[in-house]
Amino acid sequence: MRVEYINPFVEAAFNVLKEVLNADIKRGELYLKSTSQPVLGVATIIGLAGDVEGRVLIDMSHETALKIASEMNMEEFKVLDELGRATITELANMITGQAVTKLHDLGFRFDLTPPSIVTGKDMVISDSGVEALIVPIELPQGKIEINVAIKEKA
Amino acid sequence: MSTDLWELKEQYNKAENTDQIDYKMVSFSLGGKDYGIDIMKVKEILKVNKFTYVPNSEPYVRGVYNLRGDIISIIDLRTMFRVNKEERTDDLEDIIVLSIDDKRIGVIVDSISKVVGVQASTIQEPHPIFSNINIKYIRGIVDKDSRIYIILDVDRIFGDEAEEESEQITATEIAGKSVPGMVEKSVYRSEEKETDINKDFIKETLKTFINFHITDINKKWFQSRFSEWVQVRRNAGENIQLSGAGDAGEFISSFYSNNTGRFFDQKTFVALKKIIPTGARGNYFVWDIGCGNGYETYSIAAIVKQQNPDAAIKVWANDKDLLSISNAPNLSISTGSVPPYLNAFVTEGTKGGVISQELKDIIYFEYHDVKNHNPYPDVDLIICRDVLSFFDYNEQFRITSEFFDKLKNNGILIIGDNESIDFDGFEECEEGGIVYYRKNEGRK
Repeated sequence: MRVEYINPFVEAAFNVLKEVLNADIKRGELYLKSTSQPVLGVATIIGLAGDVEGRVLIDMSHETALKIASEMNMEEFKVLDELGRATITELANMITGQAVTKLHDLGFRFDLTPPSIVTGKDMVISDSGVEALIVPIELPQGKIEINVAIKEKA
Repeated sequence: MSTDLWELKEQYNKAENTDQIDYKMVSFSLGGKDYGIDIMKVKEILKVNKFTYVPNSEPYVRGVYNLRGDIISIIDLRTMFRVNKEERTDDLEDIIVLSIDDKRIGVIVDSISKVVGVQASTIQEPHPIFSNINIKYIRGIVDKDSRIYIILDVDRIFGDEAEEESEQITATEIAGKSVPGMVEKSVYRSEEKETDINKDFIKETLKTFINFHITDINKKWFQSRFSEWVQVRRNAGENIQLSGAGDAGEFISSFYSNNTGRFFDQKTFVALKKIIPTGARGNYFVWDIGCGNGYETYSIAAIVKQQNPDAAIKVWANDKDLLSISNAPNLSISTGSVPPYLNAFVTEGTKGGVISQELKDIIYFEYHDVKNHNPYPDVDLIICRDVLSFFDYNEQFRITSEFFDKLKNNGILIIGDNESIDFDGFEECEEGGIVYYRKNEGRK
C-alpha cells in the first residue's frame, strides 16, 4: 500500500474516535497481514473505488460495539438493535469519510460505497491476494482494528 | 466476551500454524521402507531401463544415461546401501534425477510413490535403529499420515562434502602407516571438526538473532567471512560464536552491498548505464524491493529516466520497515553530497535539497511485504539488494520464481553484491563490477 495512504487513515481514526468518545485512546503498532483473518464480532465494511480499488474494514467485539453505541447515543444499550448498528455504521462512515477527504487534499481521488455491517460469531474474512494494513486502536471501551486494503488500479 | 474472542483468534492463528506445510519431499520405497528426498534437490523423475555400462566403475554405478542430451550417471541406491531389490513386474527402473551443486545424478530406487508435504519443525533427529543406512546420510525422520519417512541427506551422499570426507579418510589411513604423520593428521582433523561446529552454530544463531539465512545465495560470502571472523576473534581473544543480535549484526556488516543507505556513486552509475537499456518507448516498469529510505530508488529512477527520456516509467518501491519507507517520499538531502548524475533531479527546497517532482512522480513508495501478494504488472527491471538473505530457503526459492514470472523476457534482475542465484532461465552477466541476471526464456 502506498505510503501516502497510511497517515490519512491513522489520523482520521484517531481524530474521529477521540472526538466522538471523548476519551483517552492509544494507537498500537501498525502491521501488514495477508492471510485470512478472524473478525472480532462486529465488522463494518466500506468499499473504495476511484483511483484505486479496495476496502476498509472496521472491526470490534460485540461488547465494544455496545459500549461505543451507548457512549455515542448517551443511553445504555443492552442489545445491538437497529439504532446501535446504525451508530457503528456511522462511526465507520465518519472515519473513512475523513480519511478520504484528507487523501483528496493530497490529490488522490477515492469514492466510497455505502457501509454494510456484519455481526456474528466465529467469522473469518478472506480476500485472496490482498495485503491489508492493520491499525489497532485501544479504547477504554475495548479494542478496534482498522483494516485497510488498497490496490492501485493497473 | 471480548477476551473469549481474542482467545479464539489466538487459537485460530495456532491452528493455521500447525497446518502449514513448508517442507516437501519426494517419497519412495527402498527395501520395503519409506524414504524421502527434499524436493528442492529433485530435478525430475524417470522410468527407463537401458543404461550404458561403464567398465571398471564402482558396483553401485549402473552406468550412464543420455537425458535429452545431458549425460548423467545412474547410481543404484539399493546396491549402494546394500538393501534387497524388490521384484518388478516390468523391466523399467524408477529413477529420481537429483541436482546437486551443479551436477545431475540419477538414482535408482524400488518405486517412487508421491510428493509428501510436511512441516519442517516436525522432522525429528535420526535414530540409528530405523535403518541400516549409515546415520550421517540421514537428515531426519518424519511421520506423516501414520507412515514414517526417512529423509536422506543427498548432499552428504553425493555432494562435494562426501567426496572430501572420503578423501580425508584415505589420507589418514595412509598416514596411519607412519606414526608421526598420523598424529599430525588427527590434530588437523579435530580442529577442522571444531570449525565445522562453530560454522553450523553461527549459521543457526544468525537465523535466530537477526533472521539471516545462510543458503546457496550467500554461501560464498559466508565462507570467506567466516574465516575472516575466526581470525579476528581469535586475535582479539574473543569467543567465535555469536552471543546476541549485536554480534550477529557485526558478523553481517560486510554483507551489505556497496552504496547501501546512500545514493549510488558515479562509478556504479557508469556501470548501470551500460546495463540498463536505452531508448525504450512505451512502458518501462521497475520494481524495487527493500528500498529502505529511498536512496536506492531515486538513484535507479534517475538512471532509468536519463536512459529512456521518452518512456512511460513507473517505479514501485517497497519496504516492510514502516519508519524507513515513510521518510522516503520526502527525503531531504544536502545538495553538496549529491553525485553529478543526480544533479538534474534535485531542486532547492525550504530545508536543503529535495528530489524534483519530475522524478517523484514516477515513483510509488509502498509499505509492503514481498512475501505477500505482489499486485504488479510485468516489469523490465527488478532490484532486490540484500533482501533475499533475510528469508528462509523455501521463501527465497518462491520469491526468485516470482521474480522470474514477473520479469519480461530479457528483463534484468539486480541482487546484492554478496548474493548470487542459480536459477534456470536467469543468465548471469557482469558489467563494471556489477553482477546482474538477465531473463532468458530460451534457456529454460
